Amino acid sequence: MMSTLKEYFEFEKEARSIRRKMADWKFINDQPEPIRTALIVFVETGDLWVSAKLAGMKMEEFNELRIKAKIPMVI
Amino acid sequence: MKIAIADTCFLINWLKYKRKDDIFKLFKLIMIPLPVLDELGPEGRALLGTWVIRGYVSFIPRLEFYDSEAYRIIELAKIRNLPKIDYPEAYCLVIASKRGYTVLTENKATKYITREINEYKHVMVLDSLDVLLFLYGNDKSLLVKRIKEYVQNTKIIFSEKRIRELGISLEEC
Repeated sequence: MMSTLKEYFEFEKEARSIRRKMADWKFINDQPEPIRTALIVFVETGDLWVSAKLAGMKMEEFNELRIKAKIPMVI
Repeated sequence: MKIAIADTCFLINWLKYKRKDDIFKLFKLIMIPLPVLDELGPEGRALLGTWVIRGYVSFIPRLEFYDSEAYRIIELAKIRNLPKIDYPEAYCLVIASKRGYTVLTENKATKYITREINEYKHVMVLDSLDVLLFLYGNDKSLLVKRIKEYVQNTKIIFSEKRIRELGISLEEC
């Protein structure tokens, strides 16, 4: 169980690194805007709601897209 | 048994889990705010329908009071440099606080908000790993099996550090 803010930000750093490493960057870069940018925002922030809003999609729809882009959701 | 309130990121994962109904061993009812329902696509709504038929879920309308309090939390988190919380989780947190529900969310920031903002300290926040732990934690080999199933069904990844802290390894079984 995480207990401090420091641990939270360390977790976020680890999660971002995993997302960057596992993402299919060719798939991401082949997407039209604003989908491409929304996927990059998800890689950098892990924020599904904001990314879906940027993409103009429902969260569930965007979640399917991030699975296709091989971007893991790290919990 | 308790009542939970779920946000979208929890639901879109949990509804894909083949043992999704097991959650009702912990909660008698899951409340779903309409703004959360709005974020579900056809697959999620169809899966949710099976819970609706059995009376496992109830919907909460969007209310102005909850909305303005949710925005206050979002603003407060920003001002105090706390982890960023988004509107859906903040909305669930406000309702949970007023009604005594448990929040189900994958958003870690929500847990920290409850630790840092006094009036929300009483709210219990669980993510899918916490729920799996409550359901299967009495038997470590079963827990490992269920976590692996969950990861396979949902394509999410649990933090290695958290898995280690549970005293298990996903290499087992």
